[in-house]
Amino acid sequence: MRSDIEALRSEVEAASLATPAELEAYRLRFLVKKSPLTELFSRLGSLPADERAAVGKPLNELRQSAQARYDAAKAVLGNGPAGPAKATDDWSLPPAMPALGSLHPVTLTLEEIKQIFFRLGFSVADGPELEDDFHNFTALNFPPEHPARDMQDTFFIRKDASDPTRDLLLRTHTSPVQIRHMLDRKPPIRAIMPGRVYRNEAVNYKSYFLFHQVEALYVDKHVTFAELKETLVMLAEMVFNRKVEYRMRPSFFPFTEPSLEMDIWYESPGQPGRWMEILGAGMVHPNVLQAAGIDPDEYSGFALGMGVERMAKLRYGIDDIRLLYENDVRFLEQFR
Amino acid sequence: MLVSLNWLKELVQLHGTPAEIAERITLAGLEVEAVEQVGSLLDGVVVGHVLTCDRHPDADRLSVCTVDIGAEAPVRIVCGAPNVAAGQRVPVATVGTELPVKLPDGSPLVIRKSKIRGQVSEGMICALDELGLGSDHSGIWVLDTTAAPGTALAEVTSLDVDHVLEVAITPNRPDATCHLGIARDLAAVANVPLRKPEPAIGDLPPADPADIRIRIEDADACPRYVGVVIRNVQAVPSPEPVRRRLEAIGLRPINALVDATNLVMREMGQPLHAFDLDRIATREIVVRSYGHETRFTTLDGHERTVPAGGLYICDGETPVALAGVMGGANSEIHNGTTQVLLESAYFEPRGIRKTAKAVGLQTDASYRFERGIDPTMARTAALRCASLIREWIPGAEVVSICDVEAKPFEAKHIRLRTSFVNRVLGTQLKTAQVVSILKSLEFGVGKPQADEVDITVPPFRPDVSREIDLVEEVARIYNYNEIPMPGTISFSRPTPLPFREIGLRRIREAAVRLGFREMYGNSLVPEEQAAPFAAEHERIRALNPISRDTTTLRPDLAPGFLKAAAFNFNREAEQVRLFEIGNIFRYNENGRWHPGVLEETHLVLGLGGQWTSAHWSVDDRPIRPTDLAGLVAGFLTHLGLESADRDVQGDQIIYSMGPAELGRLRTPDAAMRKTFDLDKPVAYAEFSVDRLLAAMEQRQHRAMTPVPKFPSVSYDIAVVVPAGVSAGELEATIRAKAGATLRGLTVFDVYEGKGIPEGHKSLAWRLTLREEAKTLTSKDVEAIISRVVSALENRHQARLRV
Repeated sequence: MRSDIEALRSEVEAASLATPAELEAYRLRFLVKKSPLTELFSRLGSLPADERAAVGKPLNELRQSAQARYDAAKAVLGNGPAGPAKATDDWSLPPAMPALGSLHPVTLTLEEIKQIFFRLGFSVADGPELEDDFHNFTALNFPPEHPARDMQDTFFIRKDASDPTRDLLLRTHTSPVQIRHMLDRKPPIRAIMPGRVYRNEAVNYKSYFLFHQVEALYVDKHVTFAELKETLVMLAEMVFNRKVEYRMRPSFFPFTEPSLEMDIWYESPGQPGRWMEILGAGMVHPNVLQAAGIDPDEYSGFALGMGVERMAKLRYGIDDIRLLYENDVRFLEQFR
Repeated sequence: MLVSLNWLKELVQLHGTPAEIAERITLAGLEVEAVEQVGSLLDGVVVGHVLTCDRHPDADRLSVCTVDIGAEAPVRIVCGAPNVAAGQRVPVATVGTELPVKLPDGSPLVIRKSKIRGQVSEGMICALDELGLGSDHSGIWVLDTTAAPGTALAEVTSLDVDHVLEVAITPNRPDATCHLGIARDLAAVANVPLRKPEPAIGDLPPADPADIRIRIEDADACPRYVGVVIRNVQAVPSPEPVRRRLEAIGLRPINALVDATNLVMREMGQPLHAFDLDRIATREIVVRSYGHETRFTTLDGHERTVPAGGLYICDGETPVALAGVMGGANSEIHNGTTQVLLESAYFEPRGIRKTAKAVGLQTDASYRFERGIDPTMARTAALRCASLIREWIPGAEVVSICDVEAKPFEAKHIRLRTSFVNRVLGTQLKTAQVVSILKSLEFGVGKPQADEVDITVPPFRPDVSREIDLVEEVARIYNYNEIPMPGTISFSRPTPLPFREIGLRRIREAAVRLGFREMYGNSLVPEEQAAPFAAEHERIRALNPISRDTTTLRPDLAPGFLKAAAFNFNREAEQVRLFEIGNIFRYNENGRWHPGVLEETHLVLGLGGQWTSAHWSVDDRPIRPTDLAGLVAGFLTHLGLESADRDVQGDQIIYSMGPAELGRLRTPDAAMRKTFDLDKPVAYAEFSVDRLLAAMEQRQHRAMTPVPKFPSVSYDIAVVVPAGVSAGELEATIRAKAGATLRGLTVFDVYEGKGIPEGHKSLAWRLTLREEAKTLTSKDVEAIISRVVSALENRHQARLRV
């Protein structure tokens, strides 16, 4: 049988493949289902098992080299003028597009904001979405039974009758991560806290019961309000990638004092310009530093926070926040 | 809260446009969300004298008048009012006038020369409502004046223009819940005096115990209670300007008595309540609470359940008001009331808030008490209100006052260091500047000693209790925008980013490279969508969900994907290929953040619908779970986790790394397909991101391996096996037998049908073999292949197919 293989090999190697006709003759002789080659393969089964491999290998090699000669010759001849083009060789046929992946517009926006904070020397920290009252409210200087708690409608998960600071709830802001982060380490602290937060609010085009925030915290010796202002302006200019006209208004958050909100002058095409709030910020309240085990006489700090959806809506002109959670592919595919 | 600009102007001298004043209020800390004009001076509306009035020749209900409007010649005006007549003085809107009312399409009403049923009309004789002065449209407004025709209407009638500001009151500013408080900020910003309203009644004699006696049982809950006895009252309307002012700020005028209490509340911030004195049993007021739950009918007619400890105002027999929240139906004033007890008190904020929350009632009074009003103003406010009642109700007689101070107010003192102010703000303010600002806000200021000064907090600022609070007061009046910026920032040496941050980015990138689109699912899902993924005792529910669709925290990311898949299939999507990274929640033994609560970041890779769509270049077919398995293999390879174990167990694939399970690939069962309304094939793979990250972190420093020096050899074998033998079993045998030389293994053909015995299938395998240190000889290959083939034959009843 080995000699048969050798004979066939010689024949394969000797065949001329100079024209399309010779090529086709070669294919019909060696590469079709019933050929001397397949005949040899079929004889393989009748050999004793220990010989099979010894014979099978050269046979396999022969099949491959026969195919390779054909392919090489065909490639050369294919470039010539001969032979009618196949219908599928038409370059104007609509090509198939592969599946394209994409990131969610909130991710795209958040990642860009994060990169800006990284440029400004911040690291990143995380914490749970299901929080307790201590981290979400009490340590952040929301006294029990204080109207400030009404500012954030809360989803409660479990009430703890013996100790209300152990009530479980869905965090209403990412500020509890500040507490966790401060309790975890000593100053200097410079980190951002991005994440999902929840408010028990009716759903409409501009409000959803969950959204995303990114907060930043800086605690060190000699951190000042003036430096906070400078940081906020840098941040706004980096986020919008231009000079911005802004104003800072006093505001109220229990966990900062003094507190502020920053508006930028915003003009969208065809509409009158207006002040638009982009973030809240302030100097970390001494009560908060104390609750997190940091001496407010030695250290000071600032914190700021912004809504990611709001930025995404601005960036992409999204007019209905519910689109962000519907996951309609026709929406998602627009963001690259 | 709505604020009248005219009212503010009575309390402080103001310059500038309404928008400029609003900006000043905003920059001092109270955001003005809207400014709206109320009323109009009616430029272009003049007094007209109706000279003639004749029936319109072509319309029964219209009249054609000639009206002298002071012009060279009278004008002709067509009028539809039934009461128009010759000789009247009437308001005429001349041609070109814009009236302060809107047409149905929202545009302003502008008077033009026109033809009405063929008759020329050059102006309009107006009804009250057309001038924005009320709702009366029964006929034209006939003026009671003898003024010359052409006189501006504004000269013969009292018209005023006001601007109403909508101010957002933050919870730290109880002082700003009234006009006086907002005026105080404006006075401080401009550094001008505040004109406080002075009661016309300076003082009153103490009440005769036969008229009223007041006893406070809980001095902490009610440190101060003032009652004023007023006789000969009657239900008359308050003066027109008062009613107009109340309406402008969103209050409905009732009668002079009620209007006076509302006006003083909006002016000074003190809620007041008028009891019908004849309905106060035994002429006694007792401020007390009960140790048990009670039921009480408030004056809105609702019976309410009040928890134990809720503070009441009682008469000699029974509760007559829920303190600080709402009066009772049993003591309410009515049209026949002739004498009243005017209550002006201070209640402790936390108690009021508790009660108001428990009974589910927020009133203008409870809103102010729970924030903390000025504890010292009860008497002044009562006198101010009594003065107005005496002024507005003819014959009303303010008799006496009963003022009980159960617990005197103690002012807070704070030591303020100028150096601290400058340290926090980064400024270089002088003590004199700091002191001047605080004085303008009515803080008491001691004599500065070196860096320090003793500050007395005024009683209307309960929110100010620490030095830092004073810094904010200084900064907001100084103006945040005026605080100089350094131009640079400084920060300590940045810390490295946590691996989680880097790893999450790689995970997202890997998914995107494989054609997955990122989705954001809801963390709160309906119970029935959570149920297939977690047992009853594992599911975490919100105590106060918004709706039945958002009751339960997702125990798995799969429900979000399945919902999104169905949503998109319903909108003609052929393929969905989505991924999500998000947290899942269940009650569990081992919580990382809270005992008994598992919160973990997961990843889902979901695939559904068509794998290939109809296209000339390919055969179209629906997805198979193995399509997703291929994407998962690519995904894990992107993360450097190609060595993860892949264990096929029935209809799921379990991926693991050592002892840690990373995730599973599955398909929804029939019940789940029904729950999610899915009619196309889907598969999803869910991974624990925390475990992926742990595995990635172990493999993050990978040195490159040299490119192979020696060529590989591929070898094809087709085997026929009984249908019940899985490819995985064959693969395991091939891998075990071929050993480390096997570098690649795939199935290039799967066939059953003609030529293959019934109950059998054919799998064609391509083995790629390579040695690191040498070129494989045919002998080497033969040895491996024959080992593999024998094992396949012996273990799986395989036979070679040729």
